Amino acid sequence: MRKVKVIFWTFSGFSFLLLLRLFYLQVLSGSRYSQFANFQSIRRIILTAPRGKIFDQRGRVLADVKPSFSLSVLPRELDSFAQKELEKYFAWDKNILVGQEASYSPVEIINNIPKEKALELEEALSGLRGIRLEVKPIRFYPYPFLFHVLGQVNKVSYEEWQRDKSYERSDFIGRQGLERWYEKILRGINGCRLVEVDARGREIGNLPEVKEIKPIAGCDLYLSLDLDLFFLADSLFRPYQRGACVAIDPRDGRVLLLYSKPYINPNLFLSSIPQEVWERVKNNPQKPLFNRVTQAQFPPGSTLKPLIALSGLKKGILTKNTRFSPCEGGLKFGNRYFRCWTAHGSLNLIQAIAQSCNTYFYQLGRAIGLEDIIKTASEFPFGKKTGIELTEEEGFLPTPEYLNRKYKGQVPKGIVLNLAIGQGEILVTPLQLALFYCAIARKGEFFLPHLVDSIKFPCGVYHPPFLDSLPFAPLERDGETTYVALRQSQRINLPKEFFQIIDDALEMAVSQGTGRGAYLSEVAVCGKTGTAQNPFGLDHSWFVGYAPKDTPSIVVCVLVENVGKGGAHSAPIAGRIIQRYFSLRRETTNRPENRCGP
Amino acid sequence: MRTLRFRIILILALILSLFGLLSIYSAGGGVYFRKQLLWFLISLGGFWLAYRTEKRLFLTLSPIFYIIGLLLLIFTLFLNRGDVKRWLSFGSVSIQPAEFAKVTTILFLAWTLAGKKKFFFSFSSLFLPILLVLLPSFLIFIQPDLGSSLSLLAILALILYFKGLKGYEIVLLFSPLFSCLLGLSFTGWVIYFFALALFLYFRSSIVQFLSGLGVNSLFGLLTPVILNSLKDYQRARLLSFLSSSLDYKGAGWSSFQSKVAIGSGLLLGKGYLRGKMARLEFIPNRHTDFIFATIGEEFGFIGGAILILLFLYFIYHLLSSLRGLRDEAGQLVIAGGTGLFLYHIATNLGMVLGILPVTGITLPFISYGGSSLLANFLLLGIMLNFATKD
Repeated sequence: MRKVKVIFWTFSGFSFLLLLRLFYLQVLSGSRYSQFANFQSIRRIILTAPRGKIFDQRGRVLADVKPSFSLSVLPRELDSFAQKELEKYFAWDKNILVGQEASYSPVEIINNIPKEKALELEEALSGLRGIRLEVKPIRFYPYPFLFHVLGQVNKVSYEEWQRDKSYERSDFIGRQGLERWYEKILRGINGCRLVEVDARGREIGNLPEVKEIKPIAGCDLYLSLDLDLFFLADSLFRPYQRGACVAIDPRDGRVLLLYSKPYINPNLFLSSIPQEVWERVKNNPQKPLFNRVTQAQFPPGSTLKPLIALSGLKKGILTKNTRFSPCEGGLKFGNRYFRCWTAHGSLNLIQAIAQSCNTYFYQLGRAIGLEDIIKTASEFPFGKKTGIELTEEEGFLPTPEYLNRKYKGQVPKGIVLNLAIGQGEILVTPLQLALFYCAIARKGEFFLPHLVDSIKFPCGVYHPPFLDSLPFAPLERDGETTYVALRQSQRINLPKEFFQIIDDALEMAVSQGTGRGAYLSEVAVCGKTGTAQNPFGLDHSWFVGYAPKDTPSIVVCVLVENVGKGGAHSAPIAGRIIQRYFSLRRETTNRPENRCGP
Repeated sequence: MRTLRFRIILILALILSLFGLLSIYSAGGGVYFRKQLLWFLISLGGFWLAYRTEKRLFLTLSPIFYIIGLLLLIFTLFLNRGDVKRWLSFGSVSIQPAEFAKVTTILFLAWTLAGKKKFFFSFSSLFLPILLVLLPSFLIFIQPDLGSSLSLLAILALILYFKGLKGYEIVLLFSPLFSCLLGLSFTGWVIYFFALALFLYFRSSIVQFLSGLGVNSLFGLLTPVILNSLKDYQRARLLSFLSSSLDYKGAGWSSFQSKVAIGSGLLLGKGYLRGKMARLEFIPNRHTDFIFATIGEEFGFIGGAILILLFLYFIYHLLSSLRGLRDEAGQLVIAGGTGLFLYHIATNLGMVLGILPVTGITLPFISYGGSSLLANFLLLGIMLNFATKD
């Protein structure tokens, strides 16, 4: 059959080609390849990918990349003399070589060496075999107070490197904050080149057979944060030891400010640091690693009163003119006396919120009942994660079942009174409280908070596949593609009029009531103070509010720890932040547009 | 004569498998060796079963096999998470459905095409077979596994060739695809285009010559045009998709290491279990796709050449068994099966020796991998069943 012959001879021809190629590789150029085979004459140099940068909403760099010096050794070439010489300069841990003894890539032993020291080293160690001084990009954080947002990077651990071989031993990995959340996007892809080495260990040049693989930089993140607000918050918190402050644009959930004190300087952890320094940071009683905005859980105090009012309105037992028995400084209930902070007399709902009268809310809470309050509260972002790109706590919202279990079927009647003034069984994070006020500001709608506005990646080179699993959509603008965050909102099933009543009350609270510290003459601020009771010391001070009243564009929540009752300390901070926000906005709108050219 | 050929083919397959087992032990160690040995015994059982079963049964049941194959491919896509979706896991055993889908496609194609009297180079004749191949081919392509999805086209080519298409018609049919792939590099495409023009000029009619060249230039130009018209992020996504099946990042690297391993074997090799390169974990997939690098290093040019000649001899006997075969379906099964073996041998050796791009294609009977070994032996059993019991 002719066709059988055609196929057979075609394949024979190809086999002959393979044999020729085999002959060429093994017989004609075999000696050259044999020389490579022990890899003494080849080095694989890793080209570290620069991590993606992080910018604020006006394009200022929050997490930068700068060149740094690091020292590497080639374990197979390092002799004992060179080792001794090295130890004169560094006490380095030989454990770093574990698993890389046979490596033909240099193993980094010390990184982030100061420039002067690097120059000194270069001179001292230049004659030694198996030691290499390298320049590579390293993370740099210009503003330490952003630690709780950005997190930090560290060297990968031995276990991580074993688990995921796409990391080099000398690579960095995001540890907290956005650095960890967006690790896959930020890290980029390392390149490598193969270098031929002569008999004396000097590098001759790239191996001609293998193309150099260029490193691909990580994607850049553009945040919604405003650096100016951070500067202001940092200065406002100067008198205080611990506290937190968050500002959100209620129109789309963009986080403008997320400040938590105390913080650490993440730059200190870029080079290998002694274990005891790390232990000291971890065991510091001030907890500088703890992000108070998303992880601190406290009772909301009086800031919860709008929620109780909404539950009452929803149940139909309350209007804005409803009055209960006048406040005489507290309420006797059973054999306990529940206190108010002063004797308010007879108040309607608006006044009761503005004056933050506990007696009014004890009676209102009793009339609504525990279950209805909890049911309304569960519509808001209480007791669940908000979905922000940081480590966060859920807070705590008790369910009726939980209370039944805890008190074995006999829930004390006083619980509902405590809950009505935001104490006792309920815990919120500052972020959750801010979102609750977003919902009030937008009259029944809030957007899930988001830190990253957009992601830019090095175009045309590589598309990180994980980008598809994130809530971002591509947008082409001026020939450049950015991935823009998708906004997600949640609606609350309550009529707008209810929110209108709360809105009026909150305005009054700032203009005439307990929140006067946040009052601004240029813009109508609405807000509420609160006290988080603290059994271990002085109480914590809350303030949460928004502005302007009619078209709210910023919600601010401030927590100052251990400064005592009420909003005396937190309300002025919120006021100043809101003030700065609007003055910055005027500046940007009034500024003539920057155009290139004459 | 037929029983003699049966014996030769079977013995060749056994020799190749033993060659493979020894090399897997050398490159991968005892764990892989024991697993592969177990799969080898299972495969022998599979071969015997495929050989003893009434051959008509394979054809009448082929639609069911084909559909099962497609379903397995779809399950593979949906049950896997991550970027690469090639395996289906059942407890501790995982299989690669693509390997079996190749066999079921051969059977189903043979069954549908056998008995059809008139078969021409025309849309109505070619529509059905091309569709039947493109379905599984596409499902494998998006796993992504470009190498395996192209292997189905090799099967189609040989089956159509033995069904009655002429050589130049086959070339004409598949040339646009090559134009598409080569369109990425302009010089590559120009060389290919002139070779094609020369071939068609001497072989085909003037109409086919002109239309063939027209279609090819269209496809060759289309690739860069489409690529350029894509938005940046779309192009990046496409390239990164292709790269996950083409080993984009390590391309030069793994093929260089494979060349060093083979080259350092010299004429006689370093001796069994003495291959340093392959054992030092320099080569990725050294016991699967790159197994020939170990063989070349340890057995040298002599060993490598013997292996290539063994494969040539194996193919020779498979093709010879087509001679004088009356059963048309049998002819097509053997043609398709031979096409599959041909493709695997050529692309794998071409890749390891650094003359073809790196794709994840196994070397039949040699590479580590249970699914591949079992599928190969099942296919061989069926082919010999048709070849000897005519």
